[in-house]
Amino acid sequence: MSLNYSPVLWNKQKRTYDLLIAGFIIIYLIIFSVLTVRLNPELIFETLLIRAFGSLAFLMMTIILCIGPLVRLNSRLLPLLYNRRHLGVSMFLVASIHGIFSILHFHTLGDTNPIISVFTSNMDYNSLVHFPFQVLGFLALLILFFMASTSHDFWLANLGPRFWKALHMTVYFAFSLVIMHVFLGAFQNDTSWMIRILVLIGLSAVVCLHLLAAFKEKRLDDTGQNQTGAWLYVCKTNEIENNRGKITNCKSERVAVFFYDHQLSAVSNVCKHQMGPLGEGKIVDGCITCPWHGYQYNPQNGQTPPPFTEKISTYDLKVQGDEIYINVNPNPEGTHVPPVKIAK
Amino acid sequence: MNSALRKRHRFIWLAIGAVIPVLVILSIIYKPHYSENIKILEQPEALDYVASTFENQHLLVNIRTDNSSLQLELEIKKPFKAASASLHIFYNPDEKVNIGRLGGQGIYRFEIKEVPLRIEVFDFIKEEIVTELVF
Repeated sequence: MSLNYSPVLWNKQKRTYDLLIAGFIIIYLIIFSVLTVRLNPELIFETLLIRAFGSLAFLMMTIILCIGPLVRLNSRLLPLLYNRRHLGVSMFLVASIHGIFSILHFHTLGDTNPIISVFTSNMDYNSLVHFPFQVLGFLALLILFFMASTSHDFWLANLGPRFWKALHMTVYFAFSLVIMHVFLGAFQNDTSWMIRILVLIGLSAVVCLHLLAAFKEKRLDDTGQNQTGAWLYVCKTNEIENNRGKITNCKSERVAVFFYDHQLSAVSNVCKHQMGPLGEGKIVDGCITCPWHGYQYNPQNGQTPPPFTEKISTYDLKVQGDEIYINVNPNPEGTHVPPVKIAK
Repeated sequence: MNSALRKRHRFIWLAIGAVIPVLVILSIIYKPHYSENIKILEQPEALDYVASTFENQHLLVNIRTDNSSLQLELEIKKPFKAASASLHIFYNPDEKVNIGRLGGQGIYRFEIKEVPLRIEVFDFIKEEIVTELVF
């Protein structure tokens, strides 16, 4: 969290993460170039450059899209999510190099504007296999451009969370465009089945992981749907670790119950920043801390510490014996609810 | 995420999981057969004699022979506007044969059954003829 906007809030972890990204990019480009020169010595330099950066961008995009569902399936992978923004922006830069060199190479020697040429050099729009695949790549790059340029918290605050989230969910559409760009473009000429199979493995991994995570989440969403009374059983008091949360479902929305300092509090599970799962975070310095980007909330009133102004809903709790119950009706955002003391 | 967003994610990935694999399979099944027979790394040695030579601003073409077989030797003199292209040859006006793929400047050799009527270098991305040579 930061009061003032800064392009990057550097810290040691971010520097390490970025060094790993840069190292990965350099190593990939070297390996790709060496293998290409050995296996395809007739390839000209421009084609090598276009293919190296194109394949790297696809690989990075596949990794980025796997991180989200992997974290949903196993919270020990949360560190991967920490600086995904930098990985995304790096991927956009790599994809841009591929796109710019492709346009320079294929579309600048004619008398048509290169961008117009991308859309008009092949007009077979009603054919599947002859479809102008470069248009698909161009549109995907355009989406990535808008995502990369609005990936900062400044844009999140000014565009509003709903619009911002919708904009950033278009990455799924961009991924689909990229898959078809690859299969209708490069693979129409390349006869290597191994590369096709690798791309299909990437596609399968992304789709399967997202569906596995989605159906895991659906199972949790379906619990508590038939609740009729005001109070819903959550769990036993000894099931929540100290300074940790337990997520439950109230009227289709997730709620996080936290245990800290021998007391319990419950708040909405949805972080106001990027809708991260607060219940998977922990109490740090007396505040619930979002596992995604470190946004903090007071567990008793759901308010961010001053001077921040974000608020989330709070919930009433009661303990009967060693069983925790939650009132399924949320209090207005920022409402103070005294914590329930328990001996543990 | 809230429940509405989770639902939206689920439907988006169900749709992607259903549609994209079908399109991918169709693109593989109906893939045009561009120059699959070419093996540039296994480019044959030049046959002994040059039977005839044809030339334009982009290409120098030698028809080579060793008295038992024919070979079309093509030298790209000047880079094309196309990044990569296919070589089509016409043994008669209605018979177009894809005999190889051209990736850059250099010399390419292809075995041919007879001296063709003409050859064309075809840009399969822009779907247009880059240059042609009539024999």
